[in-house]
Amino acid sequence: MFEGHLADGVTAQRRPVRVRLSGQYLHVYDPEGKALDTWPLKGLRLAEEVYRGQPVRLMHADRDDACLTVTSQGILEPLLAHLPRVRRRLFVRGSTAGRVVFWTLAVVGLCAGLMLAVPHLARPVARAVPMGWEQAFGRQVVHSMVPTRCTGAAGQAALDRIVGRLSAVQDSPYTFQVSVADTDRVNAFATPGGYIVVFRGLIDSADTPDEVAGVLAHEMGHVIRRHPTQAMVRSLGFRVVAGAFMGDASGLASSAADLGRSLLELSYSRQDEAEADRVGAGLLRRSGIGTAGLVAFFNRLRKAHPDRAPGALRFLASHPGLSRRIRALGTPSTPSRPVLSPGQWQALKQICTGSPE
Amino acid sequence: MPTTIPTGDNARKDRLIHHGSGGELFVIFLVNIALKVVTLGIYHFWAKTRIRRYLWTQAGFDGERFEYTGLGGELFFGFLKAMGVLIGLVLLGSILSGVLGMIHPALAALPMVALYITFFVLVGMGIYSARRYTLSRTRWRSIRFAQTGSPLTYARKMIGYTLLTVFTLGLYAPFMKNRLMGYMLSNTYFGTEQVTYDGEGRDLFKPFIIAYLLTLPTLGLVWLWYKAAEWRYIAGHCRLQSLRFSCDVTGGQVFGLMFTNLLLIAFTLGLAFPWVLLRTVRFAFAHLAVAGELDYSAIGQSPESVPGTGEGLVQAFDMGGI
Repeated sequence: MFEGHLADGVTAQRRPVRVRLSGQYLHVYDPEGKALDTWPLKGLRLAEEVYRGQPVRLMHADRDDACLTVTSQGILEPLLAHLPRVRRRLFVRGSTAGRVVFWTLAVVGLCAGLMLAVPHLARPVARAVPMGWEQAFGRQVVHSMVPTRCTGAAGQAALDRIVGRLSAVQDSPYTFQVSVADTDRVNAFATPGGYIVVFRGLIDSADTPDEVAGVLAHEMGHVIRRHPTQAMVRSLGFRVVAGAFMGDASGLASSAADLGRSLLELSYSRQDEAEADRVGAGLLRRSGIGTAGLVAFFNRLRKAHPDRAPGALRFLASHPGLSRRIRALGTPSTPSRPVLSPGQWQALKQICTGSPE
Repeated sequence: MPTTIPTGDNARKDRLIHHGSGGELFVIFLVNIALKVVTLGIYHFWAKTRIRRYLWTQAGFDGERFEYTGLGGELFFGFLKAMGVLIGLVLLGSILSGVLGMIHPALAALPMVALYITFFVLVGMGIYSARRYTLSRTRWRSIRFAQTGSPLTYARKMIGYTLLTVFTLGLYAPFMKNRLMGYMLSNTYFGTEQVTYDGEGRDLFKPFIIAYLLTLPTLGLVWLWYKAAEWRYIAGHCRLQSLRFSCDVTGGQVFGLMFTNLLLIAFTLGLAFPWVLLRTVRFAFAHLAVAGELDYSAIGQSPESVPGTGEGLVQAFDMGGI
């Protein structure tokens, strides 16, 4: 016999009862021993998860709102034999501390595993992205990140000439579309779908068209190896894993997760840079432009921003140490024939002086 | 001060108790995270339900624990429904805007303005409906809680009072709070028993003005003291049958709680959240005294129909807490 009380769900009253389990039935008696009701075990369920020291509350599919509370210990064990599904709602055995340790390790392990798996999944997933999507997305990125584009017709023709010479020696399915952004920064980037944006600051700072060709070859290397699309997929994957924390954890924890995510993304972008250098150098050599321009560009960058970050901090920089990249490019070679005529080079330098878009 | 309420003959603060353990709640959070990662976040609705069930079950009044009977699927379908409505509205607005724009360019803005107003109405309705859902899934002694009244009326009141508050440079705020609270509380039922609320905004006007004037010199901290006064007032003007409530929380105590909670969160990178949640609930329970005994035989099961899905709009606008 177990002690407890029964609330019938009709009024808020509850009456003390005794409960006896026999065969497939729970017999409910009043304290005097008069039979009140008989609940079949079929259709019986727990009202909620049961933790240690908590009364067991039972509901029944055929008893509407009624709730039978059993306060004395020991009803769970015999019930378990009849209701195997009840087991996963019981937290009466084992210690809280044990559960905390087990689940902390499990969740940390799961998330770490997923975080490490995402980059490996990015390559095959990126390969499955249709080129049409890449191009549509790339166009969007260029539109939103480049507010003012330079439209000098002769300058654009000079730029297309360099890209034409470089893309003639490779066979990727992408058509490269290069545009110049009217921004002072010395930089360039590639988007999914073959769009490349060069900042005016880079063209201003370049001494020769060979340097611009070097940077373009590097960016084309990114596109050929599908780095922008992979980075997109990777970032999305990290975001999904990190995002699972956001709902539950506080702002601080989620920004910690964000920091981890950007560190991971950075370390992969370093590999991407080295790979783009390698592919770009191949394009430069095969097209007869040579790597001297790219090396000259890196040398000038190094003078402007020496590799200040020593040792341990170097992994934080997204571009691997410039000295290391210059060494990796090998002996610089010069163009077999000029990249641009002096007139074309002038036009490219002045691509932004016309009426901007 | 009108905010001090006689606590009555047998008011006791130990009738509401929370049995929850921070460690167990932490485990629930961890399992939720794992399942959310695996399901790409869709488990969110079931996770929320799991946490609520724990918090409700571990809360007891007069020796009987509360029950939460909501299901994750109800929240999920509520969310899908609300997203459907929102996307439909935005599409409708854009199409109308395009059509009207062809007639006259200035007309194109009209549907968008209407859309913004509709969103405000939906937010108000969402807040009210979410409370209706949660109450309908809350039981005590196998009797359901319920909320009657109309979400649209609540939204209308909310928008009207907000405009009044803006026009009076915020001075209408205590009246707004009392009217909205009054509408919610006096439409709240435990089974067949209705909650009554007889608070008046003017009673809170004096502490409100004091806080209003001291905002700058106290860097806004004075509002914690106002909040405490407001809670004392609201609790003191609620009744459920022969139950009377009173709250004795002070601004200093609220400040202490918030400050320590903040420290706990900051020094554990948020990992202490379950413990913070529980100590906040315990704090509220410890300051709420209840007097009187319910006549249980006079309280029948709630006749209100139970909403099938829940809280869609609140979740669509990301307003939901626990």
